[in-house]
This record gives sequence, structure tokens and C-alpha cells, in this order.
Amino acid sequence: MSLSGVFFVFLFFPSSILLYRLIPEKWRNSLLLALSLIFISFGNPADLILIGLSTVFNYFTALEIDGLRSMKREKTKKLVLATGIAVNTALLIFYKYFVFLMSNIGLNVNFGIPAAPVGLSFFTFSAISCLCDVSKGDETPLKNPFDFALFISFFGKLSSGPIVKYRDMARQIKDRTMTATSVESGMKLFLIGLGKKLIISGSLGKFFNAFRTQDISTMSTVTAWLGALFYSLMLYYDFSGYSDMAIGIGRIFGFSFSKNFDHPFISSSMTDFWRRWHISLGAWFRDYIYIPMGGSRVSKSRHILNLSVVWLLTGLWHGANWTFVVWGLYHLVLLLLEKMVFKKILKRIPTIIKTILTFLLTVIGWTIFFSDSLSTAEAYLLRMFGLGGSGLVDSMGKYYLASGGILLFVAMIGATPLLSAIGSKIEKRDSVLVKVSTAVFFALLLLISTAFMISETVSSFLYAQF
Amino acid sequence: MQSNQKSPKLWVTSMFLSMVICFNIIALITPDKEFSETENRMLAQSPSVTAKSIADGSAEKNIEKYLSDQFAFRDAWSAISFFTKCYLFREKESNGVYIGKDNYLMLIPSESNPEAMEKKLSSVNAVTEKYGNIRHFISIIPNAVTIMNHKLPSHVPESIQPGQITDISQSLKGITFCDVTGLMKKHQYEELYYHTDHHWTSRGAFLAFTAIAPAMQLNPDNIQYDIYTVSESFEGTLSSKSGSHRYYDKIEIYVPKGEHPVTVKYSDKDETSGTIYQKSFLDTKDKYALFLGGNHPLVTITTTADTDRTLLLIKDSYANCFVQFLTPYFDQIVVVDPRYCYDTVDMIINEYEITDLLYLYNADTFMTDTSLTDLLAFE
Repeated sequence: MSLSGVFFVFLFFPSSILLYRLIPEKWRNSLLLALSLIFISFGNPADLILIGLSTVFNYFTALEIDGLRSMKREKTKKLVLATGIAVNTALLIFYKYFVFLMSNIGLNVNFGIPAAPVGLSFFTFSAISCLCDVSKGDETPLKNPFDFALFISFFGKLSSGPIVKYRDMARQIKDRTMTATSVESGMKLFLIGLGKKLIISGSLGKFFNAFRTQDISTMSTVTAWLGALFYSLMLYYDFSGYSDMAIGIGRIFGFSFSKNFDHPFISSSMTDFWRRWHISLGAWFRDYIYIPMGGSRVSKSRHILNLSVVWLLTGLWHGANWTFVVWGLYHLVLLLLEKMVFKKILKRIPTIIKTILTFLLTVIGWTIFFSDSLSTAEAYLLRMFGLGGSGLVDSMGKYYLASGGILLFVAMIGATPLLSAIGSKIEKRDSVLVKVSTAVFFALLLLISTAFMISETVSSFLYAQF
Repeated sequence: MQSNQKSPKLWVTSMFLSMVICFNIIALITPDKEFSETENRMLAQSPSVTAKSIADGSAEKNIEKYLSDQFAFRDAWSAISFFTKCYLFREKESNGVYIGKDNYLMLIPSESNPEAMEKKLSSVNAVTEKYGNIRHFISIIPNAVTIMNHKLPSHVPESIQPGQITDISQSLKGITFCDVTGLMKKHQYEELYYHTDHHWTSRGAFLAFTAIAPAMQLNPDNIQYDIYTVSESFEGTLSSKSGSHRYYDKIEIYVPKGEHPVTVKYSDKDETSGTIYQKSFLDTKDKYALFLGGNHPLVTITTTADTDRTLLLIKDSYANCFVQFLTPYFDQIVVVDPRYCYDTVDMIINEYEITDLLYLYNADTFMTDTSLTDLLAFE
């Protein structure tokens, strides 16, 4: 079920809110779990079996690890933990990477791999975080299996993240407070996310699809850059829109999830970018891969190895294709250069230049990311740098600049903190006029989002296929 | 929800819930529509949710399609999204339609599938070869985007259609290819296409006829026409598709002067009619269906022309308003729309003793539609 579809926005979500308010508090978790199961089974009921098996396995594994930890049987605990992680990883590999791995060693997979269950990459990472947190003693396991099932399958975050860590959510399942303020801010965030996804990302996506069908070999430089810009902003609005909706839904039901995006396009370095882009994924890799491997408090060569592992896996997480691997390594190289080679020089460069440079470098990265294969990525990059193709600018480039220029500009302004700063300044004034105009603004946002939802077939969430 | 409404802090939440509830109430009290006049298509109906449809995931898709198809005020929503895109973001296209100058809406041309095209062309060649005793003609009519390019938004890349049409003409053998692009281009400043619809006007069809007639050994100078404006409130398919409702087209008909009685028989209807114009459609949204009553599998038009020529016209909807120029020249015209007709060309040629065969398509349909290949298949 898509969070931005008619069924979810106009039926499932509002009825969930009303039911949640109406039933006694002790039934609320059961309600959320029931709703989550309906949410999963609506797309493909077979997913219920797999998510159910994963839940049961991780629930008992977490209890076992906790038992061994309290008995101080470290070796056995580590063995169980390793098994648990291996089983989760095996699930991920089977559904997402098996065909890719086999084809790379020259084997064709002749049997059909079933489609990956909804949110596989997100919920297996949540499950692994649970096993690790319990093993370290950071958090106790949820004793009630239904509570644990809610942690894995809560419909707000299941399909598209953010990747919620166990230690951030476990306690909230047992004890959370729902205030009017959190509900109201959650609703605002949900509507902002819906607008980002349907109005901006949807429009940018239409343009990008037109670029997709173009012959790369004859593209002009300006056209190539425009296509890359449309994609970069579309991806940001799509993914951060979904994250806003998920976090908003969480807040409405009393959960507090950390933000997943923090204006990534104003980053002044690649390090800064990764503190602002898909924050929950970066945090997961940091906490469960990078730091356990020793992080940066090791020899220089070991540090480089640690980073390499993290960025190889980050690339692969996005999909089973060499383009994602190369995209991950591209970021690795940039980060290493930034940290180890140009550190001193960069300090002397003005922030504005560093920000523009970082933006351009990430846009170049996305061209590798959106290409179907490394050879098309190579051709595309050559066109961006004016090699081959049809010169600096062609009529196609001019047309898309004329037709999509304002949208691009609006999208870029919207990606800076400017609008949210204005918004929070206005909201601080506590007058009825401000409240009425805020409600009118959000009503308009809902109406325009609905217009885009109804008037065209909305492309589905990009990250759901990763 | 009483607690919400009492609390002054929940303005946006209350707004959301009350709006959503309103839409649900409207959806419940308004009966489902079967057909959308503005979009000219059947709407999804209440899906039957069965264990099987849930299991294979089709239930979700069907419910989502049903809800959005039956959502209240569909036209208003597309107008709002058009307004946002074209006034706020100043975009030059909406939903596959260029927003041209002077309220001209033009379909963005489609690419063809090379394999399907090759099949289509070789089946045309096979029919030409098999029926060497009859005359074969084909004309592919370029769309507005190619002819009226001065009305396009600035910098729109050059139309791919002239290249596509040339490729087609070069792949065909033994058939007379009637080129109309050059002549129509010369007259591009006339109203050859509707502003709000993807069809050509009667004026456009007449102009093409003057180019096609000599190739078909018809003398267009023999006939004069009375031109009548039958509607000035036509809002066509491109208005609905793009969401732009800012212009009304007029529809003209060209009626040959003198006595040219016709008997029109539709294969999917019992009645016969004495005219090719079905004026009742002028009271509906789909006013272009005035010509031959829209698309039918097979229509026979019998005339008193006494020329010993019987024409098989294999066509799409562009030909519907072209037929008015053909009636004085043939004893009988058999109009076949392969998209709805399940007969084979063999059956039709033999049954009606065809002497002339004309394929008449607009470029966009010819590039994308594959039903012609099925019609031309031999048993």
C-alpha cells in the first residue's frame, strides 16, 4: 500500500487515527499491530508469512541473547548473535542479491526468485539493530511478542523507512505519550511530505522520464546537467517526502523517530552531506558496522579498510547492480580525499564555494546511481563534461530549461532551510490569524496534493525497490 | 473527535480529518459513474474483493483504481493540477500534451516499437502483393505537433514524425503513398487541427483530400461544398487530458453541393441512416463523433455515384471526417476500424468486391496501434 495513494490518505490513515483515539489505551498497540498486518497483506499477503517468520525468529533470538548476556556466557552469546545476523543477512541476500551474485560468477539462476517482501531492506536492518542492542546490553528485549511484532512491522515505517534502531523505539512501544502538540506537528509533517512527494517529486519525475528516453550519445552538455539536476532533486523530494510522512505518522501515534534528512543540498563537505542525507542509514552503518570494526581509533590502513567496508555495503544496500557499488566507492574516495588529502586546503576555502562544489559532486554521483549500467553512466558523465554529444546546448536543453526551469528553481529553494525557518517564525506568533492561515495553508497543500494524486498516475516510491 | 475540536491546538489535524470525512461522505452518497464523458473512457467499478484477488495482490490495485476513478470532482482536480503546473511552475506541457500558443494543445508524438512496426508494414506489403488486381493507397497524416509547429512552446525539439513517415513510405512496395505533409505545412497558418482535440478539422481533411485525390485518380474540382458550422462549443480530448479548459472549438462540416444521397449501415447497429453525420452527438461532450457516429467495427456507405468503384477504407478516427469528401466518388465505401473489427481483410475484400483500398491513419495512432497487423493477417 502506497502512503501517497487514495486508499491510504483518504481511508486507511484517517480511520486509523480515529480508531486509535476511540479505543482504550491498553488496546492501542494491538490496534497498531492489526493495522500493520492489514497494511502488509494488502499488497501481498504472502509477505505476512515471511515477515511473521522473521519476527518470530528475531524475537526468540533476542530473548536468548539477553539470557546468555545476563548469565555472562559471552562466547555462546556471540555465537547466537552471529547466527542471528547471518540469518537476517541471508534473507536479504536471497531476495535482493542472489541473482546478481550468481550472474557475476557466471551462473544463471533458472528458478524464479519471488519478489522481495515489502520493506525487506528496512525491517531486516531494524531486526539486526535489535540483536546488537540487546547483546550489548543497551536495551532489554520486548517480552510481549506482539510488541516485538509492532517494532518490526509498524506501518508508518515498514515500507520506506526510516531505519528505526531498536534502542530508539523499544521503550516507546511500552510507554509513549501522545500530546496535542505532537499530533498536530505530526499531521503537518505528513502533509508536507505528501506535498513533496506528489507535487514536487511527481513533477520533477515527469521531466526526468523524458530525459530517460533520450539517446545519451547525442545529448548536449546543458541537457545532461539538467537531467542530472532533475533526478537529484526528484530523489530528494521523493525520499525525504516519504520520510516526512513516515515520521509524521509515527508522531500521530505517539512515536518519536529522528529526522532522516536535514537539508542535504546545503552541505559544505561530503562528510556534512552524509550527516544530512538518509541519516538513519548512515547512523545504522556507523553504529553496527563502522564502530564495532574499530571506527577511526585504529591504524590508518585499518581505518581505510573500515570505511571501505561501510561504503561498499552502503552502495550495495541500494540495489544489486555494479552502478550502486561504484556510487558507494565514489563517495568513499571523495570522503578519503576530504579527510586525508585536502583537509588543510579545504579549511581556507570559503563555505559558499565548498557548498556549491559539494552539490556538484553529489549530482555527479547521482548520475552513476540512476544509470542502468556502468557503460551508460560513463557515456552520461562524458556528456556532462562536454565530451562527445551535440555541443554545449541543443533545443532539447533549451526547451527543458524553459519548461522546467521555474520548477527546478522552486525545488532548489525548497531544499534549503529558508522555508522551514520562515514557517517556524510565523508559527511562533500565537494569534488566531496565524492559526487560521496555517490551517488554510495546509488545506491548500492537501487539495493540490489530491489534485496531483487524482489527475495522474503517480509513480511509485523509488526507494521501495531497493 | 470531540476532544480534538475542543482543543485549539489541533487546527490542522481537525482540518485534515473533516476534509477527508467530507470526501468520504460525498463518495458514499454519490452513485458510481460508469463512463467519464470528459475522458471518454469507462471508469473502474466497485471491485469484487475475493480471497484470490487478495492473494495475488490485484485487490489492492483494483481498489486504488476504483477509488481514484470514482473520486468526486475529477475534472476540477485535473484543472487544479494544470493550474499549478502551468501558472505556478510555468511548465510547457501537461500529461503528455504541449501547452502551445493561442490555447493550442498538441499531443507529444509517440515513438514506435520497431518490431511491431516491421510486422505491420510487412503485412501491408503482403496484402498489396496478394491483391494485385485492386488499387492500393496509403496516407499517414502528420499530427498538429508536426504541421502547426509555430504554435508550439519555444524550443520544443523538432517533431520526429516526418522521419517516421518517410521511413514508412520507403518500406512499402506496390502501394501508392499519398504524401500530405508538404501541402499541409504550406497551409500551416490555417485552422487545420482543433485547439482542444487531437483530431484534424474538416478544413485539414479537405486540404489533405486535394493532395490524395489526384493520386487516387479522383478529380477534386468536380465537386463544390457547402460549409456549415455545426458547433462552437467543442472541448476535445486534449482539454481533458491536459486539464486545460480555456477554449472552445468550432466544428465545420463540408457537404457536397448537389444531390449525393447515401445509405449508411453500421455493423454493430440494426438501423440504417441517410447521412454520415450523427447530429445527436453535438449535444454530448464527444462532439467529434458527429462524423460517422464515432468509431465502429465496420460501416458500409452506399451511394448513387455510379463509378463502378468500391473503396475499402482501413482507418482510425482521423478518417471519420475524411469520408465526407469520398462519398461522391465511390459506389460503396466500406469503412473498417481494425481496433474494433475482428473480420479479416480477405473476407472483406471478397465479400464487397473491393476495387480500391485506402489506409488512412494519423501518424500517432499508426506508430502505436497494433490492431492493423491482426486485421491483415491471412488465415
